[in-house]
Amino acid sequence: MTILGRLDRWKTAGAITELQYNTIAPLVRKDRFSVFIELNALLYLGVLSFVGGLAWVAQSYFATLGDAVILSALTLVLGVSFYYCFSKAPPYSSGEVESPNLAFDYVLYLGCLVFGIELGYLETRFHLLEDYWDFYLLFSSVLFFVLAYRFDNRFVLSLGLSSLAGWFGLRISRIGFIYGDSLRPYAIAYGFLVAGAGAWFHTRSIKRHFTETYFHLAASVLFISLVSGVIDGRRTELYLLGLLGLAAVSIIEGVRFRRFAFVVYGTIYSYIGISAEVLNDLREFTPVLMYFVISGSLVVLAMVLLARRFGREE
Amino acid sequence: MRRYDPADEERIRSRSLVREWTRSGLLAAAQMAHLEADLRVDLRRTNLFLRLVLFLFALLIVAASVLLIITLSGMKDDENIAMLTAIASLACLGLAEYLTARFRLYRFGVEEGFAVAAVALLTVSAVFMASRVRIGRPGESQVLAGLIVAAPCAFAIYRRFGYIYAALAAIVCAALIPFHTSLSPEMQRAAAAGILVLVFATARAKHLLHGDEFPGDEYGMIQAAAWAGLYFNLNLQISFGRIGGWFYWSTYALIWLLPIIGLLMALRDRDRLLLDVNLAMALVTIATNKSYLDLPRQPWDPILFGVFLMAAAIMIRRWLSKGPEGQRCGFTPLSLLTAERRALAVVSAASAIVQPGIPAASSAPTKPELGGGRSGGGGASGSF
Repeated sequence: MTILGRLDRWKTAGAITELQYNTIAPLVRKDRFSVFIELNALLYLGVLSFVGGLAWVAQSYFATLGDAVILSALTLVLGVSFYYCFSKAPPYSSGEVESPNLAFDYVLYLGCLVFGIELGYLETRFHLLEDYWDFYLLFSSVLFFVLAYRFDNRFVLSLGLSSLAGWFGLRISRIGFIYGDSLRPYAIAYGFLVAGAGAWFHTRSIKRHFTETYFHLAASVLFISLVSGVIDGRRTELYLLGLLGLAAVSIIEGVRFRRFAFVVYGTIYSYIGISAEVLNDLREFTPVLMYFVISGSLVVLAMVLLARRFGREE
Repeated sequence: MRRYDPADEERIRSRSLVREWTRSGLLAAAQMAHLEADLRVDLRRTNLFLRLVLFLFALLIVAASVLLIITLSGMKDDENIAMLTAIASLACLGLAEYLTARFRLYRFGVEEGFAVAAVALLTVSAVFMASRVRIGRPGESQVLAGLIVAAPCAFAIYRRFGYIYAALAAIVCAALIPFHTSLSPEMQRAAAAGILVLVFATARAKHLLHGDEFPGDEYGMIQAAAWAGLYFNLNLQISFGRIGGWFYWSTYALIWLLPIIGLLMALRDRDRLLLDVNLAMALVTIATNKSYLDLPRQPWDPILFGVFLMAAAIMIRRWLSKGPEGQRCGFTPLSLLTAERRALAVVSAASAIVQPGIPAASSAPTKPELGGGRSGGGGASGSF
């Protein structure tokens, strides 16, 4: 039976109202067809391309055009973007706020990216902070967090989180699996800070829809840091203990809140960590393969039990 | 041929629609429970994340088991390995069949892992079988044998279990076959295009016959994948083709024509997947146009491209919004279901990883050249 046939039957049986039928049936028949996602994708790609081009022009033509022209142009784009956002924005609310229009979120995102270019340009040309240049990242991240919360913008929140990561010495956009020993503690500190901030905002009911962004980023950074510590660190036992503890929390809380991505994080990363530790001393190929067969079967068994008990929702 | 009852497949799809309507506020939670009772199926399912873990670990177990047997038996002869992998493939297929029949698993991950492993092992078997045949460059005959076996096997797995990714893998393998023959580069591309056109035409005919409901939704995906593959094959700038002359300029014409034809088809049928694929193709065509014409790239090109995209989005939104009831010909710029907003939320959260390659400060000790800088800060950490 087709879905339209089912809708008809449900309407006749009184399971859905006439109004509901008249709202849903046009969607099924595609009498109403949303291009919301496609328009958002065009705007997002447009902003990325525009900002990339601005940076390329600034890099290629600063000698020809001069600092004044480049800085004026960047400031103009920045000013217009922020003026538009502050003049059109609805009042602040700690809950989720609908954007006044489709382009609003992208105008703010554009302004924030241009702000980043301008700071970079200023430092390159005038060496204002010199050895302390990384404080631009801290300053940027604070500004981006304020703007993300004021205008309820997840793009800017992500920008703020990655700027903060930059300040901590990480490179989210070029993330490698292995962090060096010197970077690992900063990565772990960053992960805990982000998770703590996410939990703090959540408990105070401030923009709760941002919470998962915090937790996904924190979990990824923490797991990668700890796994890299297990693989090439000097205090392997400590990292392994931390990894197993975090995996346990991730799996338990993931099941509890029905956020199964965290169950995957906990399972995969702890398996990699344990395998690295177990296989470290094995020199023969046969026991390695036996390990994978046995451990893999155990994981499958555990996951099947978990899926049957908790993970039935599709 | 299909392992599952089509009525069950229909119910599963209807059930996910009912859930989406409830999330979007079109149905009440109590109504959802009532309607779901009408859509109950006797199949064991799980969520996407656990399915993924189960799938990966099933593959790991199969790979480790086969390697273990080879190691323990000291097998070194290609023919013996080919025989063993062929037997292992049959065993995996049997396991997948058993799990679906005995435990009524549906997209549960484990049975998928075994089914996919069956195809992979038979492909490996074909590769080892062909190791004694010497045609063309070293290893060419083995790759060809692997592709010739993988394409129909993957398609058979799709037909049996309905795994759409198996159908897509079959299309890729089939389209790659001409590239491992002694045909000229032009003929290789033309033959691959012919295969993809054939797949597209067949899938489209079936999609138009069945519409968006099962199995039409699957044909819709195959159709879009074949169309995208055709474009990728013909755009010599993104598929690393080193061909000149008339063929080069024919492909140049086609990379402009294909998105236009595809967009017209997608808009007429209101086919979202085909629409998105053709939009992406149109953007790639614009982005690779200068490379095709061998014109130098200018720093302001991305600015113009960005302005074009933003202006296009805003103008389309305004034009649609000004129509009667905020829509034109049924197209609306508004979000109608929460799935659209959820997709946007995922993209925005993931945008921490995808940021433009903005040059960063030269005083930064880590990045002396263009491209990247530390993440975030809008890239304020690199060098000009």
